[in-house]
Amino acid sequence: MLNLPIPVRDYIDNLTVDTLSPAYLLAKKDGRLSNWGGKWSVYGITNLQQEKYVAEQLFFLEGLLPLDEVPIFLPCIKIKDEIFADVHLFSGDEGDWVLLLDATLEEKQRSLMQQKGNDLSLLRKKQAKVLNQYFSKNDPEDLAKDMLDLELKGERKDITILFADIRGFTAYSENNPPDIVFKTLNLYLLTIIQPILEEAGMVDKIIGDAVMGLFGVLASTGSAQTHAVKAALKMIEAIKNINTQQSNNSSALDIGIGIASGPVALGIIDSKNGKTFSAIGYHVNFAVSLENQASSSEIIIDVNTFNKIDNMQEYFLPTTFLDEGTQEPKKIYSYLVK
Amino acid sequence: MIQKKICMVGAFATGKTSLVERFVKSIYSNIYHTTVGVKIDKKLVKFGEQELNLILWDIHGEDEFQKVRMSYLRGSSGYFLVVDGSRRYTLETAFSLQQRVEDAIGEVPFILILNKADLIDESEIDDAAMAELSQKNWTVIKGSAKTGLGVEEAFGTLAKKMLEA
Repeated sequence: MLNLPIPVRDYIDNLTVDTLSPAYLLAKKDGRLSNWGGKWSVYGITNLQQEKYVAEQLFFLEGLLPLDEVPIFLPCIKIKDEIFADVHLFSGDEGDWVLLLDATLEEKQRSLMQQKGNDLSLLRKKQAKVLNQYFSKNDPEDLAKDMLDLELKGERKDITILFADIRGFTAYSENNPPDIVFKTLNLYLLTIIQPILEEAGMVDKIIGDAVMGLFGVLASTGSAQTHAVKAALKMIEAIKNINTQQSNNSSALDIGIGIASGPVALGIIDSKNGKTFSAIGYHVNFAVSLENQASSSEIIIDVNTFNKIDNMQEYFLPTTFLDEGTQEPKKIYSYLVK
Repeated sequence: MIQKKICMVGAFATGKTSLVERFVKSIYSNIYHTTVGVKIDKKLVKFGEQELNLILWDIHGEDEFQKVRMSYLRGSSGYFLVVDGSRRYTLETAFSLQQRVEDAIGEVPFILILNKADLIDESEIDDAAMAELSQKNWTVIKGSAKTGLGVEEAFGTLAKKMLEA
C-alpha cells in the first residue's frame, strides 16, 4: 500500500474528481437501484429513481447486471452526444457498483488517430487492389505493411518522388503483336514496382510504360531519399536480370529514372468512383523532367535528394539541368549504372 | 417491456454504424467516421402486440492493432457479424470474431450481413466465399446501409430469433 501524505492524496482525489467526473451507482442483486452519487449530470443523467430497475433507467446497462464476481471494464462507451465514459462494474457486499469516469477527451484523441489510420489503411488496400487487378496477382503489397502518414484533408509534405520509364517501349510496341507487348509490359512494370514496395514506397501512378513512386508518405525507417535511390538501383538490377534471362536478347528493354525531393501537396481526392491519392507540385514535375533527361540505366537525382543519401553519394557525378523558363542551369547528379 | 441487447461486430469500415443509423434514424452518410469504443442506440420494434426495445451496441471495428473486447458482448441476446462485401478479408475477420464471441458468451442468435451490396462492381465475395458461408449454415443477409436494402429484414429477423431463443 502506498503511504501517501494526506495533501498528495487530496490532490489526487481532487484531480480525479475534476478531470474524470466520477459518477457511481449501487444496484441490488435484483437489478433495482439502491444508491447513487457523483457527477451524473455530466453524462446527461438527472432523473435516477430508487428501487426502479437500473437497466430500464440506463439502457447501456441492459444485460450487464447482476455481476458475477469478475469485475467488468468497458472503455469508451458513448453515454450521450459527444460524451464518452469508461464504465467500471464491480461487486461489493451490498450489490453491484457501476462507476463512470469521463473518457471524452481520450475518445477525441483516439478518434483522430484511428480515423487517420483507418482511412489510409483503406487507401492502401485500394491501391493494392488496383495493382492486383493490373497484374492479376494476389498480394503485391506484402512488403509495405506500414500505414500511411498523411493528414486526410491534405497537407504539404517533404517527400521523394521517383519516375521510372521503360526506354524504347514505344518502338517495341510497334514491332510486336499486342499480346506480346502487354505480356512484356506487365513483366517489366511488375519488376519496377516491387522495389518501390520493398523500400516502403507508394506506387502512385502507372502511366503506360512509366511508374511514379512516392517515398516518405508511408512510415518507414531511414530517409525517403535513401529508400528512393535504393529502389532505383534495385530496379535497374532487376531489369538487367530479366534481360539476361530473356532468350531473345533483341527484345531487351531498359529504364531511365528521375528522382526529386521537396515539398508537395499530398491529398485524397473524393470522386463518385471513390477516393484517390494525389501528389501535386513542382518537385513532382521536376522528377518527370529528370527522368526525361536520363538515358538507359541512368539515375538522375536533384540536389535535395543527393544531400540526404549519405554514402551512396559516391556513385553520383555532378551535372547540370536547364529548366524551362529559367536562365540558370540547375545542379543535378547522375549515376549511369554499368 | 422486454429489452434485448444486440451487438454489431466486424472489421473496421464495414458499415456497422451506418447500418444502425439506417435502422434507427433512417439516415445514411457517405462519409466514413471511425468508431472508438462503443456507441449505444435503441429502437422500439413491434411484433403484433409485442413490443421489444432493442439496445444496439455499435462496437468499434477490429483491425490489426485493435481487437474487440469480448466484455462488450456480455449480456447480448444476439449479434450481427458485419462484412464489407467489397473487401474479402473482412469475411475472414467475421469468421474469427464469430468464434471468439461464441467462446465468450455462448451460442446466441446472430446474422451475418454482407453489407455494401450496392457496390456491385467491387464485390469480392466470390462463389468460393459463398460456398464457405453456405457450409456454415448461418443466416446471411445481403444488405446496404446506403440503399437500405436488407436492413429492416436483418434487424427484424434477428429480433424474432432472439424472442424465439
